[in-house]
Amino acid sequence: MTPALDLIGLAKSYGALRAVIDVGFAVPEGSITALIGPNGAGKTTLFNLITNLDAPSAGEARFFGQPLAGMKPVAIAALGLIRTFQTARVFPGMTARENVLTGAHLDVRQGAAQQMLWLGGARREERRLTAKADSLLALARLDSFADMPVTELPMGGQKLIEVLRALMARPRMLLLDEPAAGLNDQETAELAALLRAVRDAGITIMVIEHNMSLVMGIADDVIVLDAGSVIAQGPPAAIRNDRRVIEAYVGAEPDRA
Amino acid sequence: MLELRGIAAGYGRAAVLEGVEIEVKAGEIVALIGANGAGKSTLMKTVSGLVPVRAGEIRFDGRRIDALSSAKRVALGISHVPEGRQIFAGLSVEQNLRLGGYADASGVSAERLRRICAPFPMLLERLAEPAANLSGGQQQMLAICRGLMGNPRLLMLDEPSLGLSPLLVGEIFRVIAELRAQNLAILLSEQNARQSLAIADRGYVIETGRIVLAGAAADLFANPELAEKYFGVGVSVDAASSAGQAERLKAILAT
Repeated sequence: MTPALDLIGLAKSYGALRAVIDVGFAVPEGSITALIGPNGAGKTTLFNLITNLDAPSAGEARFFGQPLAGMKPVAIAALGLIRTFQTARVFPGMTARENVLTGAHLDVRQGAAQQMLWLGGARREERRLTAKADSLLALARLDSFADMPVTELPMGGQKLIEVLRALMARPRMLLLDEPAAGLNDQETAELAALLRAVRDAGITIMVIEHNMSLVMGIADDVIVLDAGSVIAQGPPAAIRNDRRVIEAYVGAEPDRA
Repeated sequence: MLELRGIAAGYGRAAVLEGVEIEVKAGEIVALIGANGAGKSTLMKTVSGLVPVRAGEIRFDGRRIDALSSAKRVALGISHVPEGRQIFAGLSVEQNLRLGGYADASGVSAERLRRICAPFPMLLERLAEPAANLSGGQQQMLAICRGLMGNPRLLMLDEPSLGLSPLLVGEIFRVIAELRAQNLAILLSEQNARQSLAIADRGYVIETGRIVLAGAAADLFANPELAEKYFGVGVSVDAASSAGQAERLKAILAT
């Protein structure tokens, strides 16, 4: 089966700094793959190379077999490869529901001209998307916050809003950058349940995360990046006991908590 | 050293803090425990002067400071490492660090800069680079070191372990414990309540803007109610509920 994402010899240098060195691995469709590694290992840079926010110096990424080289980030998103960012990027002047709805700009089934000429259809389209956003908010148990300014949500809620916004964009795969940063244990458990549900609904996930109990709890496969190279890959149980990983990343204590 | 009495604060019509009373002494680590949105960050902002108080008094060394500008409070020795790094991306790593010591007219010696950054050698290797080139976690290290450059007597750390690898989280907590030995007063806010109480002397539990419990760190740690609320034993995913969620999600995504 064609993997959801296939990285072939990806590399990136900034001057003398080699941020990503010959990285190659495949993410199977319908899996959760965790990308872990020390700060500055190149994890976010790798996401930037995949989504072409930054052009690779060498190598390429393929999404369900299609080479992504040279494509604009928005075109890659339109293929169904949707990412979130490390720091919560919500739109401050908008409500929680409006923030979720912004993800739908890739799913509006009519052009602007059509909308102007055929108001009834446009309204129907707006109702469909609003109902979808509300269902997602209810699924994440954020429905009571729907009409509140998004900045009044707790940090955990804001991070979930970002995931919901990504789900509005008809994704086939999500790239999530530290979705649990700043969340407490309760919020992290809710995020874990949501991510599993997303995977079980058929959407592939690659997630950068430092919360090892989350990684060990939900990942099917773990990739460990150190100084720009993959130093280990395997199921969580094997990674947890890998001596190189413990030295480079986890330290003496096996758990962050 | 730091004393808050009857502090009320908020944004616009929203009241965030009410009747908050806390104290931090020199050579003491005090943990603030609370859910996201409980008011921990706002409390720190009232101390550094980023959010004005609506009622109550803040005293530093016995002196009222709640009407002083943030700059004056920094000059008195109050340092605030805010949540979310807030580094100056366009400036170099070294310029960011030196800005942390701007209140000291004599400037920051190269020796002092090296000593403060010693736990994070990566910063010293990249002093000349734009701070924007640092990874998220490295920016967090920079923010912490910047907060120490001004020779503070009170250090407020808001989520210092955010975005750091497990290895570095351990390192950060070790550095914080060392700073206490240098007689700093430290106010620490962390989602990682278990780890912060493990190094703290005392703690306050804050819920919807009010202090609901205060005590020795060991007593708070042993409190079963707090354990259930704030120091869950890691992540457990209920497979059944997750399966139900997946079916619902499939139906939603198909619309």
